Amino acid sequence: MKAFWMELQTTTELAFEQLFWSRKTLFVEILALLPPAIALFWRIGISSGIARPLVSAGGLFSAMMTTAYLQFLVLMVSLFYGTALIADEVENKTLTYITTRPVPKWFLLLGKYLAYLLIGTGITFHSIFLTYLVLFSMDGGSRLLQEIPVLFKDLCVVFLGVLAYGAIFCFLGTATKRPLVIGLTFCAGWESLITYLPGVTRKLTVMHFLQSLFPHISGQEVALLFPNQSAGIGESIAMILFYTALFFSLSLVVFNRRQYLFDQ
Amino acid sequence: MTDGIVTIDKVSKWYGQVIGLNEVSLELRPGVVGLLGPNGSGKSTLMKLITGQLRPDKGSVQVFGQAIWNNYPLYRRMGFCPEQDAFYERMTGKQFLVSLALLQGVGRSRAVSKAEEILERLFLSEAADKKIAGYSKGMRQRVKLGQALLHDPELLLLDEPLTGMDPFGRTKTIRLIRELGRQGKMVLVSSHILHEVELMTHEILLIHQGRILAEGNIHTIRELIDRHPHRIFLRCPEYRRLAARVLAFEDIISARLIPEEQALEVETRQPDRFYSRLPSFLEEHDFTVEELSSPDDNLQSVFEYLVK
Repeated sequence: MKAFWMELQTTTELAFEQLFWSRKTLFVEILALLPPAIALFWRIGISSGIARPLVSAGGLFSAMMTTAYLQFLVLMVSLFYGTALIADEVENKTLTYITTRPVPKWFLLLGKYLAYLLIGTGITFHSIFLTYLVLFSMDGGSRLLQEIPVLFKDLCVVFLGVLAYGAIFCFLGTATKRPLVIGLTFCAGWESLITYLPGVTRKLTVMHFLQSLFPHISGQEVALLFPNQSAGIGESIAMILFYTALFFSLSLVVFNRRQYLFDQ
Repeated sequence: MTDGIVTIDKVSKWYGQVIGLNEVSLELRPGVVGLLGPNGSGKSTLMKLITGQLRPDKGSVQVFGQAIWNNYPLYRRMGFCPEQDAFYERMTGKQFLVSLALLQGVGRSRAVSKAEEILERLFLSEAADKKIAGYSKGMRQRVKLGQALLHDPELLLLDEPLTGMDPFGRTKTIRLIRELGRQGKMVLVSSHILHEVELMTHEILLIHQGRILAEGNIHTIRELIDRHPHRIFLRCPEYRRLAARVLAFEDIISARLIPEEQALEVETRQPDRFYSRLPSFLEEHDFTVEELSSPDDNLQSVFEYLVK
């Protein structure tokens, strides 16, 4: 059992080393710092009297959580790191070192996925924290503690998003040669457009269930936009976990069968 | 069931329309075996099939009596040094070896001591805590070899391990490979340089265009090679006079003048005899040879002879 954890930790460390210390981290970090930067500009504008407050700090945070985080940063972080889990090893030609060890392939993929979760949550969470701090530390910071339950719910939903999209993009990375292109199409097309279609089709997107869980779109708002369309909390969590398990399992099947040396 | 460590039975491997290996059958037993072939001959494909990184399209690859594809427990008994110069560049040599030792299932303290032992054996102790990105080509080759030795495997597959090594590292590595063979391990070493392989072992496998052309003792193969004409290039200001003289030798088949280079190229069936006689002959007839080389040292030429 001790050896199991040691090997899992090592696989995760190797994957972390390769994923984190790559050029994509710089790019993703720039994307992650955009929302706090926007919040900071807004705050400076309001404090200095240059701009009129059309929306409250809470309202802006809510809008940013929905658009900048859930519909953009979570997708981008998952896309860039999820697709790279195997693709980076193939591109860097280091896959041989780990696949010729007495460790089952599912275990290697699990370690890599854990490394992805660490990086994915690390990047999204620190950005959300910064935005939260910038917006709610106004007026003496009285709302900093008050809004923590909302922040906690936000982080939980974002984590579920990172979890599910990571598995989907991991599958694209293991199964296809151009995962980024397909992934971008998936983000911009499937997850963005299908989510807003009425009917059961939207249940085929992860975004539908994430939005159903999100504390920033009230049940009334959802009901107004899409009557009888929002999913319950239990159903949403179950479906997100189902998509995660499904795509991670598919990744495993492909990883077990594919001969990656053909791509090197 | 055979007693071979590696048994390959009628294996073929295709890369799309191109054949990588064509109906190869062989059995490898303990000792060092040199896998010799020009670039693109199928050496790496064979290594990757034996290490289970590729799946044969036809035939079977068995290691220690079991199919290797997706059979991860077998990696406890085998080590592989890949050809490509690829690493987790930000890691130090020691971190790299410790991580891979941990994946072999040894505990952390054992992994650390094993990594240190290997680094010392490969003369890398001083560079142990330097990042691999800062290693010279020779050091990178040595640390790559080290990761294959970490768990003291019974079967070692070394794909072009001497490429880019400095003379010191080359000598030490050759000695190490011979020592591993003496310990009863099965070591398959690939190379495209004949004399390099000769220094490690007398048992060789000749591979060309995905087929095993010959296998066995290197002397037999040398004889096979020597039965074919061998070209020797001589640059000499008096190349016309030299040509006239050497044609008198009975083992010389032909001599071709190359005026633009002030040289001649002779063809002989007995290169060893020619080389041993040459110094005294040149001295006796007062010839100055500025350059002496054999285009046939290029393994590709040797294979061209063999497949004719």
